Amino acid sequence: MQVHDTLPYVIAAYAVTWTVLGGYAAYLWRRRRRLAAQVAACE
Amino acid sequence: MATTLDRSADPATGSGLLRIPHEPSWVRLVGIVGVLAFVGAQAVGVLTSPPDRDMGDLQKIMYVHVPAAWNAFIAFLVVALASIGVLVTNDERADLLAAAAAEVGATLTALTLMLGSIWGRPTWGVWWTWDARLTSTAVLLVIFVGYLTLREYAEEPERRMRWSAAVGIIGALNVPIVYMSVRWWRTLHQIQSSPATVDPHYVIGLRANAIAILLLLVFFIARRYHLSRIENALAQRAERRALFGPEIGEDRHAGA
Repeated sequence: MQVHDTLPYVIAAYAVTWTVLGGYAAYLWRRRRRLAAQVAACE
Repeated sequence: MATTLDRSADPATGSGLLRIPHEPSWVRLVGIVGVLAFVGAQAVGVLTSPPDRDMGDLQKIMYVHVPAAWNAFIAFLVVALASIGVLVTNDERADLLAAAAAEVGATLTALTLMLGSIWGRPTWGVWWTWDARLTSTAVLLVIFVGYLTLREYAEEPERRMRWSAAVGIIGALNVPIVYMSVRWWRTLHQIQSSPATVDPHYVIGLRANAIAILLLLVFFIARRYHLSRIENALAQRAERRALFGPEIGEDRHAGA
């Protein structure tokens, strides 16, 4: 028997994936920008 | 602790200025290729595979859940190898690589658990159950959250390196237990999914997403590692300035 009404779960799964991976990329990007400013101040 | 960033700088006297390391250009390239591959792989998985006979469209969660788990395992393998490197060579770079891989691995493990939970609710009727696979994965996540917490609280660098290397190796030993848990114990979770065990319609989507997330994994670990190296170099430079003054090298040469 096929499981029905699954679309909301699929959408939620992909939304979570993009949020987590995108969130981590954004965290690295912000950290890199902050460090770049510190390096520029040093050099 | 002696820096590995620039051996021309003498930590005992402060002579020579520490160079700030730069991220190699391939890291950004891998990131761009990884994002493009990820978008393409998601489109291939979602748009080209037919609904599963039993699970319907829920099967499409496999394209993110399984590759996230595989790549988390790869990240923890990097942690284990780099941690062994720390214990053998005492090299700060191996420690920073292990920490970067642990952070990315923990993120992917958390993602794996969340996706599994979303899949489990309509399939099993529960968001969570204390099944051997789920529990061992949760233990894996807790160990590496502990690893990252330990690094924050251990202040002495030499001790932090050794302690976290030990925890990293012990934590990575849990990976084969997680992988084999579905065979060693009677679990609600199905046996391992792989291109050999899934329907041929789903192989391309699974492989494409696994490779795309692998590229993102490499990008995340490499960028995180280089950020840590820059942070360490800045901290060491600030420490030298506090000890020897702002223009160490120039002053010494001018006075000679």
